[in-house]
Amino acid sequence: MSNILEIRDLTVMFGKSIAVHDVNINVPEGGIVTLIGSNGAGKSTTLNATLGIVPMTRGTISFNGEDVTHASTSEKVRKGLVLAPEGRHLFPYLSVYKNLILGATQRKDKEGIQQDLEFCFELFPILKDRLKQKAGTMSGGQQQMLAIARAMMANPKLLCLDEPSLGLAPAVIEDIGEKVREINRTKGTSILLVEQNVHLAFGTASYCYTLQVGELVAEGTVEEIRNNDVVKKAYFGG
Amino acid sequence: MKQPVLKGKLSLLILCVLFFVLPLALNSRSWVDLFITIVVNMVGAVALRLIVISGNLSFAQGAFMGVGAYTAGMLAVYLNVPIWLSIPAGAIMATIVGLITGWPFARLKSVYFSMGTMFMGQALMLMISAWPLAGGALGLQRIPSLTSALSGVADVLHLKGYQACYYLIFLLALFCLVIMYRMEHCRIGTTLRALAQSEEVAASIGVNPTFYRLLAVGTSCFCMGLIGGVQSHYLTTISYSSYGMNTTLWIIMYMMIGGTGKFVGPLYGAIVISIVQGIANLLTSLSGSSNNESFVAFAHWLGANSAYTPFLTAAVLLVVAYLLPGGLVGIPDTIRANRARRAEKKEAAEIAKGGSK
Repeated sequence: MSNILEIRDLTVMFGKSIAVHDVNINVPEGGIVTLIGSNGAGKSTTLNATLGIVPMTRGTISFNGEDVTHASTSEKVRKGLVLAPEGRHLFPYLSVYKNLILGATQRKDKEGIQQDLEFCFELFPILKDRLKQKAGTMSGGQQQMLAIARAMMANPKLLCLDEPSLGLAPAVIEDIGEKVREINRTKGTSILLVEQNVHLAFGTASYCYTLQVGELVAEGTVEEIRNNDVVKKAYFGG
Repeated sequence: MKQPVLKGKLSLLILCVLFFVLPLALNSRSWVDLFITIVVNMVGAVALRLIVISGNLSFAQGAFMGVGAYTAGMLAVYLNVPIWLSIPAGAIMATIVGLITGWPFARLKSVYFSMGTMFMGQALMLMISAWPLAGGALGLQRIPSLTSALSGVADVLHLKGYQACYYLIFLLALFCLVIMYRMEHCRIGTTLRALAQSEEVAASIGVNPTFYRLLAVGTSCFCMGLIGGVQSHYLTTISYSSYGMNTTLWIIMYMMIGGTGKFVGPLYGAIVISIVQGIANLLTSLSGSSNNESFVAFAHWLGANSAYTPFLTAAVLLVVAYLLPGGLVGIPDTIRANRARRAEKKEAAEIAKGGSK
């Protein structure tokens, strides 16, 4: 199976401190891959650098067989590499509808946009009821759904999710995980899930990378990682 | 998805009709001059708001008007360029200058953007004041007059010269306002609002912030340049001092007093404050032909005290800032909110009363 995303030797430095060091990640086409690690391990930085939101110090990124290391964020989004950012960064004072439409900012195909809008409503029916409501007035779970739906409006080939479980109740997290699998199943969208919540990560993904203090310490299928001592140590401190 | 089509358009239509009919009915030069000032200020205030909805406040609006005015005026004075070419040239020049200077400023945010544009506007006007070809401190004189250029059209339509000028300025202003209205009410407007709320998030979902910011600045400058160019031909004499900080601050006043929440806000602000500014002049010139003694006396008193106009405007601004968070255009919303709050209080009081029994 070919890889849709290949990250090679990614290094990000903030001043003199190394946040991410020589990280290599592959996401197979149509697959769900997760990147786990504790607080401050560099998960979000890895994602942001991949998208070009944070400048990378070294490394290459190829997407869909194409080198996009120096492409701008908007170019990457146009090519289908889309991020649903951490902390559900929405536009709180704009309506749900406008937030969704903004996700399709790079697209010109009106019919495709309409179809994806329908898909989002099917996936998250609650959004359809709340179309006119200001995004900032919704509950945390609904905002997370909107963040994912907004990313889907860009018609991604690879959807990057940054900590979708952040600050949500366990039942809602279950629901989000189910929706992510549904997106993967019905649309064939590859998914890179960055998570701290291992239950969501293991329940959703098939392959797993583990970060610890900016370095990859383990990778493998979810079953392998589940029983890996290094990971247990990285996570549970013993 | 259906957008609310008619909402807010009725007031625009009424305004449009009023501005079309009134200058025809009020058959005097001083009235039409006031209307020209209002229309010019309207374009200024709405053009500024286009930048404001993207989260920045530009302090160079007056200067871009000046760039348009001087470009149109100098082309006509020195190269004998006809009016129908010199005015668009002024608009295009203002756009180019706006885009070139806006490129570095697109990276600045909020107060830094304001500071940068403020100094740039001042610098532009100082450059013009030091340029002998532009007339220096005396200003640019003997610009071919719009009135004589339109005299043929005016004769055919049985209009007075100044009325024909008004209608040309009105049409150009309408053109600018329609462009900006359309821009605000399509995806571009939404994107600009998104940029105001969070540029980082907007960038992360694929918006190119620099492109959209420059689009807003470019359109705004085009409108300022166009209206400045046509105004220079109407006035026939322009001075750099009329495009300095003062003009910019007045434009900001129109916008803030009218309210930035809605498209019509700056329009109302420009109407109200332009009338406050121009009423003394208008009454003085009207009193020349009046027989009513008390009216003449009032006009003279007003004329003698017209230096206090800025105080009056400041008072209006303070009242708006304290009592009307949405500006003049937000008055209905404010009343509604107050009424709802009062009803809530009453209900709460009644519940408390019932509970104590």
